[in-house]
Amino acid sequence: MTVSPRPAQASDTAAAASARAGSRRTTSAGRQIRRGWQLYVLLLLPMLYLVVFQYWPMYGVQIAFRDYNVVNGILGSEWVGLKHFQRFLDSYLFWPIIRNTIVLSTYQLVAGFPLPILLALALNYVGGAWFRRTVQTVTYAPYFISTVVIVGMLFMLLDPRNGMINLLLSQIGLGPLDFMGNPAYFKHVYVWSGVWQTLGFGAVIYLAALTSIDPTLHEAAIVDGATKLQRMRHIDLPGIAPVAIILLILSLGSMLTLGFEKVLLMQNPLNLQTAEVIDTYVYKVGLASAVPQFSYAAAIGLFRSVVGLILLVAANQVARRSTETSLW
Amino acid sequence: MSTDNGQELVQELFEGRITRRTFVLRAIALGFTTSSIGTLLAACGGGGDTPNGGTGPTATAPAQSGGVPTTAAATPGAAAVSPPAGYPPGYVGPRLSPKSPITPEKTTLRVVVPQNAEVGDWSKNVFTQWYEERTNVHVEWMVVPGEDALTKVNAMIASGDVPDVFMSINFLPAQQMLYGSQGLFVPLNDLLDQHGVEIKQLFTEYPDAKNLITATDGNIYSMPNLNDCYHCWAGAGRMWIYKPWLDELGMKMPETTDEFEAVLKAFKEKDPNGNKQLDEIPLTKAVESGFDTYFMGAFLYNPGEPWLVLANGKVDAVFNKPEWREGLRYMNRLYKQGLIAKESFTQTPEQLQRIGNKQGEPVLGATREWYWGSFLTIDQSKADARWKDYVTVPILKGPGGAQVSGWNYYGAVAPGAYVITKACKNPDVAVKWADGQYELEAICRSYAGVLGEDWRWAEKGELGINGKQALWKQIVTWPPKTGRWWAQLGVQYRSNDFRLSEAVDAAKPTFEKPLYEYTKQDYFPYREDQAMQLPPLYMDEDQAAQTGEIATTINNYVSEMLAKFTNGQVDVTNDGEWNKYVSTFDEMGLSTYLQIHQAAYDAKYKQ
Amino acid sequence: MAATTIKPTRSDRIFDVWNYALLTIFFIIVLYPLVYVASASFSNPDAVISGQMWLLPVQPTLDGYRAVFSYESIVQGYLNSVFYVVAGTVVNVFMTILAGYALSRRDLYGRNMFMFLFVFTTLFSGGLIPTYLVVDDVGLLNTRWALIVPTALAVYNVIITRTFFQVTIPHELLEAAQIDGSDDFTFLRRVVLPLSGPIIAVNVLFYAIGHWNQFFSALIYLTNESLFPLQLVLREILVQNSVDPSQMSDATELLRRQHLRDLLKYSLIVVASLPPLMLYPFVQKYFVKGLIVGSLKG
Repeated sequence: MTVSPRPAQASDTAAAASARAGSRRTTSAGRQIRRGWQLYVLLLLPMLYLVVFQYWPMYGVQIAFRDYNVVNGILGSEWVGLKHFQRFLDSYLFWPIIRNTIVLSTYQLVAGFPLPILLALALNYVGGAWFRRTVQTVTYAPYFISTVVIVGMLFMLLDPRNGMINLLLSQIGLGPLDFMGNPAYFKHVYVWSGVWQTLGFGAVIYLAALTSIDPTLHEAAIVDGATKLQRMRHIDLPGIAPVAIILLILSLGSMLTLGFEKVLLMQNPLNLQTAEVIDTYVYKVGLASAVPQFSYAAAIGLFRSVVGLILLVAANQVARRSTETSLW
Repeated sequence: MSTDNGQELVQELFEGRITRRTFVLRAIALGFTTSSIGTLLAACGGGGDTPNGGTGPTATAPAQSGGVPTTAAATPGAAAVSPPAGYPPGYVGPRLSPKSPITPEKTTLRVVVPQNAEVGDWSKNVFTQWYEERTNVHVEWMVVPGEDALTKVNAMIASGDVPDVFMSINFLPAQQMLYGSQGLFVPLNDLLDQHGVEIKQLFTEYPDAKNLITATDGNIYSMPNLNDCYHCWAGAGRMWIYKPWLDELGMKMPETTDEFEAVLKAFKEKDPNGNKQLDEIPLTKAVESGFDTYFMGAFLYNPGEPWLVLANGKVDAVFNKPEWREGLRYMNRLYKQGLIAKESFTQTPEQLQRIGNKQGEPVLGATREWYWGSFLTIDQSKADARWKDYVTVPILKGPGGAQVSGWNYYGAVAPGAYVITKACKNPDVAVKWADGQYELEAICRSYAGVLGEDWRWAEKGELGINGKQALWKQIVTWPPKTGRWWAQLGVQYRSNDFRLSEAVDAAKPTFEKPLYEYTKQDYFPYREDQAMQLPPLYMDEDQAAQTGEIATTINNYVSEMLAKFTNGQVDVTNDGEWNKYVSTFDEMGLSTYLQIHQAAYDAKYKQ
Repeated sequence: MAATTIKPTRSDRIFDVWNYALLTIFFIIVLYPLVYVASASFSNPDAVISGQMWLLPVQPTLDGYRAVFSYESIVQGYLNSVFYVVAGTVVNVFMTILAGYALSRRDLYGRNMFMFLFVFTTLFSGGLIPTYLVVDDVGLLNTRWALIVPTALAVYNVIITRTFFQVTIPHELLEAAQIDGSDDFTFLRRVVLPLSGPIIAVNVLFYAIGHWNQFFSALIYLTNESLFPLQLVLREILVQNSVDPSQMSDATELLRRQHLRDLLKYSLIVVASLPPLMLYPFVQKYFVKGLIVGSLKG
C-alpha cells in the first residue's frame, strides 16, 4: 500500500530523462545561460525591484555603526564601530529579553507549525462542501481583527472574576486562575491566542498544496483499501512536505522577531519578567524614548538578523542533507 | 470719519454678525484707512453696554491661579477691548484683541500638522479659513499621522523635506535640544521679543512658562501651548469612595491610614450594599493606575513615575527610601486582609468599568483612578446617576504624620508645540501667526467652533464654572462638528481662569465642576512645596540616550516590585528582600541615572 | 476504476466522526469571539462595557455605524483602499509568478545564488529611513504608487510559489513541450499558468489582504490626506479617541472621547474586516483538484 509521492517520481524521471537524452551531465555554464535566456528575462523585473528597494537601502545598515542623527544624515554621523552592540550586550536586561524571546518563539513554532497542517488535512477530508466552506471562512477571519481588539477580548475571557474561561474552570473545580497576573502563564496565553488568530489563515497554503496532489493516487489507494488516515500518512503528508519544510526553514530564520504590539498590550507589572522581549525593548528604549535611538535600534536589529541568518543557513543545510527540499 | 458708525461696525464684528473681511471693507467705505482701523478698534472699546468701562480687569496683586503661579496683568495698553459682559474680577488669561492682517499681501507658510479626524481636512476647516482671513497668511498643510508622528517627521527631516513650521507635534525637550543645537530649529528669543504680543502677556501672567520652554543653552526653540487644567494636577493620585456605604455604615470620611483601613474592612465584612452577599470589592484599580500615587502620600512626597524628586536642590529617587517601605507595608497589610482586589495589577480599564457599572447593587467600594469615567459610565443627564455618589478621599495622614499629595506644578505648559525651522523664510510672520492664536477670540473659535452658531459671548450675569462672571457660552453641545474647529491643536493660552469662565448651564451640570471642587478641597491643600518637584529637564542627546535605557529598566522594576510587595509575592517585612531590592537599583545604574539628571538640572536651573 | 461504490471502512467512519467533531469544536471556539465583535458593533456601548452583552446584541443600535460613517474621510479611505488592493495585487501576482517560476527551474544557471539573494532580503534590511530616502529619490513619495511599487514583491510568497511549481509541474511536461518546439515563454503562458489556479489564488489572497491591512507604508510615505487608505483613517480615529486621561485636560472631552471610542471600536472592526472576509469564498473556487492530472493524461 505504498504509493510513492509525486516529487520523487519527478526527479527520478528528470535524471533518467537527461540520461536518456544522452546530454552531457555538465553542460558548460555559457551554454546553460544562453539556453535559459528567457528565464533570466522573467527574473529581470523582480531582480530590479530587489536591487532598488531592498539592496540599495542596505547602505543604511551602517547606521548601526554610527551615532546616527537625522539632521547630519548617515554619512555625516560619527562612526562609532561596535559601541551600540556593546551597549546592548552590556545592558541589564540583555539576557532576560533574549531568553524570553527565544522561549516564546520556540513555543510558538512548536505549537503553531503543525496545527495549520492538521487543520488543512482535516478540512480536506470533510465531505460536506457547505460545512467545509463555512469552517474555512470563519477560521480564517480572526486574522483580520486588530491586535488591540484581540487582546481586549482575551482579557475579558480570562478575567479572574467574570471571565468565561474561569467560570468554566470553576465549574470543574479547577478554580479561577490568574492568567494575566502569573508570569508563568504568559507564554501560554500569548502562544495559544496567536494560534487561534492565525490558524485558519495559515492553513490556506496547505489547502492549496493539497488540492494539487494527483487525485489518482487517492483513487488508487481507496481501491487498495486504504483508510483515510493511511491516505493522509502516505499521500497527503509527503505531498505537502516540501511546502512545510520550506516554511519551517523560513520560520527558523525569523525566530528572534516577535512583533511588539501584541506583547506590549499584554504586559503588566506582574508578568514583565517573562513578557519583555527584544521588540518591546527596542520600542521602549529605541523608538518611544525622548530621543529616538535609531542607531541603537539598528544595532539590535542587525544583531537579530545575523543570528537569524545563521539559523536559516543551518536549517537549510539540515534540510538539504535529509530531505529533497531546501531553499538552496 | 464717522466714529458712531465705526462703533456700530466694531460691535457687529465682535458679536460675529459680520466677518472680518466685511468689517474691513465697510470700514474703508466709511473712510477709514487700514491704519486707522486699528485705532478705531482700540478706541471704541467693546461698544454697547459694558458697565465697567470694558477696558480690562483692574490690576490686582499676584494671584495663585489653580495652584500654578500666575500674575494678574496690569491693565493692558492699546487694543484693549473686552467681551460684551466684561471680564470677571481678577481674571488672568487671554484677552480679546482683534488683529489686523499680518502682511499686506498674502504670504504662505508650510506647516506640518498631525492628522486629526475632528479637524478633518485642514485646508477646508472653518477655523482655518477664518484665521486665514484674519491674518492674511495662507497655509500649505502637510499632514502626518497623529500616532507615530515622530517616525514620519524624522523621515522628512532625513530627506531634507523640511517645512517652515511644525505645529502640534510636541517635540520633547531633549528633541528640541538635539535639533536646536544642530540649527534645524530656530531660536525664538529675539523673535518673540520683537514680534510677540499675546505671548508676552502670557509670560507675564505665567512667569514659569518662559523658563519651562527655555532650553539649557538659553534658547527658546518652541512656543508653548498652555492649558492650565486645575484638576489635572492632582489627577494621578485621586482616590474615590462610594459615599452611600460610609453613610450606611455610620462611618465618617477617613482621614488617616488606619481609618481608611477600617473603612475598607467594614466594606468587606458588613455588606453595605445590603444584598446579603459579601460581594463588595473594597478597593481596586486598573493596571495603568498606581496605588502608590495615593497611599505613599501618607509617608512621603511621591510624584509618581518616574519617582524622582528634588531634595534641597539634589535629585533623588523615592522608591528606595525607608518611608517607601512603610508605605509598602501598609499596602501589603491591606492586601493580606483581602481589601485589595487581586486583579488590580492586571485588569484593563474596560474590566474595571464592568465592575463599576455592575447592574443592581453597586459592588465597587473605593478605587484609585483619574475620574469617574475611568471606572464607570457617566450619565450626566440622570440626577441620581451612580457616578455622583462617588466622592474623593483626601490624602491620608500616615502614622508618622506625613500627609502630602502629589501636585504637578509644571503640567500647564506643553513644550514643543510650535517650532520654526531654518527653512522658514519669514520667521517673523511665523511668530505672529502663532501669537495670534493666543488671543481670546481665536481660542474660542478654535476650541468651540463658529461664533454665533456653536458658541457666543456670555451675557452679564451668566456665571462660569468658578462662580464668577462667564466669558463665553456654548450654544450647541460641545464639541463642534467635524471640520469647524481645531480640536485643541495649534497653540493656545487656556489659563485656569479662561477654562473656568465657560458659562455653566444650571439645567445640565457637567462633572467639570465637582471635579474642580473635589480637587480643590481634598488635594490642593496638601500639595508639596514646589521646590520639591523635579521640573522638566532639557537633556542633550548623550544624556537622553543613557537615561532612556536605565529609565526603562528601573521603571519596569519599580512597577513590578510595587505589585509584588503589595500582594506579598515578595515579603516586604523581610530585611534581606528589602536590601536586595534596594541594591538592585544600584546594579541597574541608579547612581549614573541620578547624576545625569542632576547635571541637567544644574545646567538649567542653577543660575 | 470507479471508487465510489467502495464502502467506507470502519476506521474511516470513526475518523469522520472525530474529524467532524473536532472541526466543529474548533469552529465554535473561533466563531464565538467573531460573533461577539459583530454583536457588540450593534449594541449599546454601555451595555457592552457593563458586561451585559455576551452573545447577542443588547439594546441594538446602529449608532456605532453611524458614528463610523460620519467621518467623511472613511468613504475616501475605502475607495483608496480598493484601488491599492486591485492595482497592488495585480502587480504583485505578476511579479511573483515570474520570479517563482524562473526560480523553480532546475536548469536555471545560478539558481542557488538567486535564491540566496532573495532570501537574504527577508532577514536584512536597510531600515526605515534609508528605504524612505530611496523612495524619495525615485520620486514616488506622496503618490499612490508609493503604496504599490516599494512592496511589489514579498519574497515569502515567491518562495511558496516556487515550491508549488517545483512540486506540481513535472519535468515530463516541460520536456514534452520542448520537444514540440515551445520555448520558455510559451510554456509558461500555455501550460504553467492554466495549471496555476491554486497558487495564483493563494497569492491573490495573501497580497490582497496585505494591501487591505497596510497602514504603515501610508503612514510613512503619504502626506496628502486624499490618498490615505482606509486602515490609516480608521487607526487614527480609534487612536485619537483612546487618549490617556492625564493627557486630556478637558473633562468633557475626555468623556466624549471615551464614549466615542467605545461606540466605534467594534463597528470599525466590522467595517474594516468585511471586504477581506468576503474575498475568501471567491478565491476558494480555485482550490480545485485535478487540474494537473487532466493535462498529463492528455
